[in-house]
Order: sequence, then C-alpha cells, then structure tokens
Amino acid sequence: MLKIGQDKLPELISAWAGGARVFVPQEREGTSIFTPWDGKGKLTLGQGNTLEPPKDLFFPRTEAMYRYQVNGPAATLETLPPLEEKRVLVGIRSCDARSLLIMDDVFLTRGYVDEFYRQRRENTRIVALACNEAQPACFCTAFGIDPGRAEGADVQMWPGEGGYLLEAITDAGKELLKQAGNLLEEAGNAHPPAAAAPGLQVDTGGVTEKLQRMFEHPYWTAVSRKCLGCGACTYLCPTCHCFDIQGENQGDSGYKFRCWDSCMFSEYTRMAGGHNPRPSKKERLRNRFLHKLQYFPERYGKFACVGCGRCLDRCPVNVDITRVIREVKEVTL
Amino acid sequence: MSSLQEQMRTRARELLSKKEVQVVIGWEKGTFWYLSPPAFITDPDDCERLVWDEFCTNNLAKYLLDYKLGEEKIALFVKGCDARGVNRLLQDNQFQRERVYLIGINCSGVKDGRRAAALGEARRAEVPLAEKCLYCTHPGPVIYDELLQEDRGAGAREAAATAEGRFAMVEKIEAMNPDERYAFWTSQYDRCLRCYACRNICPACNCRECIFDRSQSGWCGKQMSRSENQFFAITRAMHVAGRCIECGECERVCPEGIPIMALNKKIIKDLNELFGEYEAGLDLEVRPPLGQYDLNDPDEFHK
Amino acid sequence: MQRVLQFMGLEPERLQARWVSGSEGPRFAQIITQITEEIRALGPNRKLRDDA
Repeated sequence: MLKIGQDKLPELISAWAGGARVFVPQEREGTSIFTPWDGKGKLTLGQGNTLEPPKDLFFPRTEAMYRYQVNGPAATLETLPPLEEKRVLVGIRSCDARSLLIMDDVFLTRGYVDEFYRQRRENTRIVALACNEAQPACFCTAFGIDPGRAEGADVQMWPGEGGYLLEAITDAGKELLKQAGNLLEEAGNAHPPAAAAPGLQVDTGGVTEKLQRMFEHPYWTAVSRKCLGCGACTYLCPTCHCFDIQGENQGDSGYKFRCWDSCMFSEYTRMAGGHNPRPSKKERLRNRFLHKLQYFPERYGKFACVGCGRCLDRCPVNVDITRVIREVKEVTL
Repeated sequence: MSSLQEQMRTRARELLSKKEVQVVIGWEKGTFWYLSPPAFITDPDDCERLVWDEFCTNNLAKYLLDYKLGEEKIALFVKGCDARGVNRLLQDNQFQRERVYLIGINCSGVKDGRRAAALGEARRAEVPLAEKCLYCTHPGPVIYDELLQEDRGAGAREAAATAEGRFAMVEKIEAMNPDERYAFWTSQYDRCLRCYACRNICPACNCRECIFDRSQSGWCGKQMSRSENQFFAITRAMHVAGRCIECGECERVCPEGIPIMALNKKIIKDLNELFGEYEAGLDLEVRPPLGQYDLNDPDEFHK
Repeated sequence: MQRVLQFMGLEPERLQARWVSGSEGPRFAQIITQITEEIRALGPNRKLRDDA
C-alpha cells in the first residue's frame, strides 16, 4: 500500500494528466462535478458524491453516430473517427463504480457490443475513492456494495491521515502508480479507515418477486400522485441508460445522433399513430421502478440501482426509492 | 388557538368525512427533516399525515391539472404563491372554481431545504428563508374559501418589507456587456439537462401539449447542446411571460441550480415598464398584459 | 422578445417585426433592404451555434 499527502494530490493528478485526460470531482457553481483537470480547478474529492454521476463520460448526453450525404437516389454514409482519447477517472465512489458494471451489461453483452460505449470504456482507467463519511441520502449497502472498496477499479484510494492511501488492483492500476513516480511513499502498516455506513437502509430481499405480481396494483396510482413527470431522477441516475436516436438534417446532408431519453416523459412511448401505452405518470413512474427493481434483475441478475441517492436528493417532490421498496414489500396483493 | 397544523388536520378530516371534498392536497413529512413534500389524502383517517412546517415549500396549484378531467372536488391548502397559482389556472380556464375548495394559510416564508441539509438539524433555527420567499410580495393567500388563523408569532412578517431587491439579479445582468451576458447565460444553460422539472412544476405552464414534448415537430431538437438549450431557455421564459407568479419553484426544482427566475423577472420588469405594473395571479378580473390588446400599447418595432 | 434576446447577450437587431399589408409592395421591399443592410453590418451571428 502507498500513500500521498493531501497537498501532493494535485501533482499526482497532473502526473496522470500527462498521458491522458483526467476527470476528477471539482467545484462548479457550488456543486461537485467530474470535470477535466487543467491544474486550476478546486478539487472536491472529500465532499460526498458528485451532483451528476460520471455516466456522461461513457454514454454522453448527446453524441453524433454518423453523418450522411444524399446525392439524388444515392446516399453516402460517413462514419466518425474512433474515440481514442485515453482517460483517467479519479475519485469515483463504490456506487458509481457498480453503475459502470451495470452499464457494461447493457452496452456490451447479450449479442451486441455498442462501439461508442466500448471505446470510451476501454480507454478509461478507474481510480476509485472509498467513502468514509456517511451521506444522508446514500444506501449502497442495500445492493451489496462496499463503500470501502469499489468493484472494477484499477486503483483504490482511501482517505487517510493528512492524505490518501492507494493500492493498485489491476495491471493498468500498477502502471498508473508507477507513473506517479516518487510522489507516492510506502504506507508501511497503515490500514484503510473503516467504510462509512450509509444514511439510509433498506432491505431489498423479495422485492423483485413481489413486484412481479404488482403490475396492476392501485399502489402505483397513489405513489405517482405527487410525481411531476420531470426527468431529473433519470438524468441524474448513474444506471438509467435509455436513449433516443434522431437526425438533424440540413438540405441534402445531416447527421444522426443519440441522446438521453427518459421514461418519465410522455413522448417516450408515444407511437407514430399517436397511441401511448403509458398515457399518464402512473404508468411512467411504475416503469421506472419496475425497470430498476424487476426487469433488470430478471434479465441481468442484479438491481439497476446502486443506492447513490441522487434521485431522492434532487427530486422536487421527494419521491424516495427506499420508501417505495419498503412500501412495495408491505402492500397487500 | 390550536396550531396551524392541528387546524389543517381537523379541517381536512371534516371535509373528507362530510364528503364535501374527495381529495385533500397538502404536505407531509418526507425522507428527511428538511423535506415536506406534497401529500394527497382521500381517507379521513389519514389526515394525521398532514404537516405544516417551514419546509412546506412546494407550490400545490399545478396538481389541479391532474384532476382537470375528473369529477372530484379537491381541497387545496394555499400559501400566497399557491393561491396565485390557482388564480392563474382559473384565469386560463384550466379548472372550475366550484371544484376546488381553498384553505388559506398566511405564510411567513418557507426555509431553504438545501441549506438546511448542509447545516444539519441541530442548527434548524438558523436555516435561512428560501430564495423564492426573499422577495415575496404576497405571503398571504389572495383567494380562499376559508383562512386558517394563527397567532402571528415571530415568524410572521410584513409582505412589503422584503419585496425590495426583487430585480437586483436582473439589474446585475443588465449591467453586463453583451458578451458577458452571453457568457453568463451559456455557462448556466450549458448545464441544463432538459429534465423539464422547471416546466412541470410551473403553474403558468399549462399547455395541453408542450412544444418540448414534440421533438419531431422540428422546433426544438432533443440534443442537449448549446443552441437547443438556449432555445429551450428563451422559449420557456417567453411562454410564461405575463403569467409568471414568481413562486420561484422552477429555480428551486432545477437539479443544476440554473437561475431561471432571473429570466422570468427580466420579463416581468420589462412588462411593468411597457404596460404598467402588473402582478400575475392576484386578481381574476385583471387580464394579463399580453392577454389583451390596446391601441395605446407601446410598439418598440415601429420607431 | 427583443429585450429578452438582448438580456441573453444577443444583438437585438437580429429580431425585427413590422406590419406590412399585402398591398404595400414597395414598403415591404424597402424594409427588407433596410434590415438586410443592418444585419450585414452586424456580420454573421457567431452566438448560439453548436460549432462555436
């Protein structure tokens, strides 16, 4: 195990930035957000979770897929250059680290590999930071996540006395620590601090099985009453991965892009003829919870929620997924 | 006299038991001590859920639209801003007056939940007023069927005392040069996620179908890009011009903290200059400045 | 509307509105010429562009 003093951290990040673009939580308008390190920003590593998850780095809000040019009856397609930029993502928490494994399931398995996602994912090294301070809206342990050690990380960091402890997990991680040169010292017999206990607790046992029998339950009407039908929860969610594909056309040429979409919107399921199988917020809110807690576990064997707490923290009307899980388990069928 | 919260529960119970209304919309306790989200009560035995505290922030008026096509009669608790929201909806013929029973509350201003979270419960007394309440001109409801009474304690305040500084942010931005203004607004709206929370909570946004839910129409692309986000910003602001009641909910619910009210207030300030002082949602009989036409209206294009 | 554009940092001259009757051909031409000249003087708009 290695260690580094708090004051040396910017140097370490700058060292990594030599060969890659480093994304690290920095202050933006009073909040903490993953932004590229240019040596000038204010690091916010120790201040809980970032406002937005790092999802955008792998699955951007909006990305062009290809360009096209129409010439009379013929059309030519122009693919975009491969995404080769090397990146290091520093300071990701255990919850967000799990979310990347969930996104991997969606974009890389079951017979189709999404090239845009794969290239970004393979070109990014992950340096995780353990949580040792509880956040009120977190509940990662409900999904078997260890706030003290992230899954899928190349390097694991822990806040330690006056700085950080670091340990390489993968070969790529060893490479990163080697790059740091003499900024790092041997930590001797230092031990990582105890992981934080999240602010919220919820027992997810049996919730999938219960939901399988609850599609028509009046509970959904009651729980969706206060929902505004905005997309804040889905857009701040590290695992929500729905997208739409649209085109921007000018004259004979244009491009196709994909952009985030949200099952909370009326347009999401509206069909060409105008019919909408999810006509009101009841069906939409139900879909959000069923997707996370039933459909995804059925398909991939894990919940599509990591307990980061962003949705319940930023929801304008405090729709709380932990409460929904508890209530679902309690309602009579 | 019993506390406002007790009166709220009692009245809700009476109204539901006597079947005078079928739904009561108020507030209840949320996940944390600083959250009091909307509550929908249909069972008289559930009225104990209702709370009144300094975090009953949500403007409840918009929920009337969810009941627009039904038959039920709704009882709604209204602070000053909620009442103005109801007036706006009534004025736009979005809801029938006889289908809503308004229980007024003299609001002494609600507190900033996000600041409360940062301060912690031990320092509850220090939590500042919510931004939206700092410049409130009408904390008491302007329309109601009954008004709950409370001995006005330390929390009560006079409306006009705080309305000063209402346009301070607008004036600050106006004082910038064009490039600074452009830099300011692009840096704000480049963050916009287009989650539409601002639109969905707004009691002035009541179009049956919103332009932003019709991406195929070609007006506004779904890209979260600078041009589309700015188009969204300007269009949303113009669509509530003359109808914004300054409840500040759009800005409060924005997950990205975009100063949306600065745009709304800019338009209010301009309308006041052009068409005379007007505050939306105060009086059902006074038509909004952009909802009427007068030959003497100023016309800045014909110089 | 012009005032809002100005507030957002754009040149207000880029948005103009005039009443012109269908029978006022010469007036229409004159207004369009005038506006075209004004806009040309401003140069191409570089703001609100995604490629900027």
